[in-house]
Amino acid sequence: MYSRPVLFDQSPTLAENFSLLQGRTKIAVLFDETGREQAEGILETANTIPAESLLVSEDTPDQKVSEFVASQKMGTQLCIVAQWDTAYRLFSLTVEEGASEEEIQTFIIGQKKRFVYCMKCFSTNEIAGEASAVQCQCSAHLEVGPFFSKVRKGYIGYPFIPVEQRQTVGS
Amino acid sequence: MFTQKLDFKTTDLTTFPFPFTSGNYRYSNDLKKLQNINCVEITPEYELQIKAKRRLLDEQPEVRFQSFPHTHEMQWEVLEMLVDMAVSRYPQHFEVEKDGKNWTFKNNILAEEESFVFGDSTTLKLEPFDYIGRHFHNDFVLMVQRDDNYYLEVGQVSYAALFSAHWNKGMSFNEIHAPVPFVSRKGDQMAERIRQFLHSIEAGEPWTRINWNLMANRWDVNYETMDVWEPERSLITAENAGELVRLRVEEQKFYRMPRSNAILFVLNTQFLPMEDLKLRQEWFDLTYSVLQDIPEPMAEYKGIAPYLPQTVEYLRREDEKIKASKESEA
Repeated sequence: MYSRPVLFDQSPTLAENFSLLQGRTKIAVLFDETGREQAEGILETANTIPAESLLVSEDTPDQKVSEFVASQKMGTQLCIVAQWDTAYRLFSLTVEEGASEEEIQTFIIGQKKRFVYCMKCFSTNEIAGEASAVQCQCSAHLEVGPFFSKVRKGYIGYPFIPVEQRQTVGS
Repeated sequence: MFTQKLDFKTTDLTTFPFPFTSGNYRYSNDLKKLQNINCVEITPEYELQIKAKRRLLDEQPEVRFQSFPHTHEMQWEVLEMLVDMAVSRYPQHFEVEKDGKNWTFKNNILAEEESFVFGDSTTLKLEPFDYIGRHFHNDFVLMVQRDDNYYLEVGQVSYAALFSAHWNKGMSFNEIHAPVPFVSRKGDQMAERIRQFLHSIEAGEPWTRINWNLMANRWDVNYETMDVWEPERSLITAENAGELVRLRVEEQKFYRMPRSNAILFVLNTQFLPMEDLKLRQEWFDLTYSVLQDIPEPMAEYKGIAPYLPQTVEYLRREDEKIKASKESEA
């Protein structure tokens, strides 16, 4: 469903420090190799309730992840600890299984990624660092706007002509 | 190739929904119950507008029409409503034959006839909403109610004012209106008030409001063409503003669809060049008064700040001419 939450750099699911949510009776942690140490820390912190974890690699089939999430009972708190690309995949699979964003805490190992949606060619482009403008693969120059689309999975990219190229207005 | 040449304007002033009732304007929802609930309206510019609209839809289908696959049943409901309204109001222009689910719709103005099975989208070349929308000059947007909000699930938009059916697809009413920086006289957010108001709209009792903007030699400004129209705005001068700057009025009508419970937005967009305002002195005076009183943030939000001073200067010069003419007559 298009209105499902997607992971982006301002997602409410993103967390810096683990906290056990009130009323949770179990914890389930999905992590990749880069997140192993932090995942183990979470499991230790939450040692008063039952816990379960799944190490995920690029080779892990989506179905295995989905089955892991689907097997969790109501009241389970879900954690994702991974690099951005893996976290993005795990978050998507988790919400597809019916988990709400409030039930998931996501911890990113390394850099978060941001994407801009080109309003010229309708493709997404990764934004380097804190850049406020990018050049799309279609060569359009894009100002990164403040609005994010869950459907387009990126921030709006307003096309503009750089001042030095504005010789033929309206071309 | 797509162009934005404006080859039509409102010629029958009695059909132009002039937006101002006083000499100063601020954002407000200004919602009223619709007196004539039939939204189909044939203007003298009908054929020109349909030609322009269809050209846009054919040349930029991804930009101008968007839908989700699960919306077809809702789209057929809209088709049925528009067909029935058209036939009811203009039986000389539109006809429909209904033999059970086998329908034939005729548009006599365009000499077109289409037979299809109602409810079966495979019997139309286009999606039902896209097909029927191409017979009327309006923009159509279907907002589906879920939880406490409305989500854009189908849109056919050819007269955008800082809007894009492509970008806004799937967004909630609040997300679409997020940039509105102004508050109403009561202090609450205008977009939020309208969203709350939409909840109260009942089937068979549509409502309306009027929105306005200026356009600099274009009929629409969308995000996809921002690199083109943004620098073009600086080409407006006090000398050419009369011809090139148009008062763009968008009459918005809101219908609760009885079966899907969605809200259909029907947008009637009309244009009047600044120079034609003189055809009605009251319209000229009100527009001149409103435009010279627009606060800077509102001008920026509407996207008219780069050519508003030139437009006001044009109106000031014309106003002087009118006054001088009256004095010499006296």
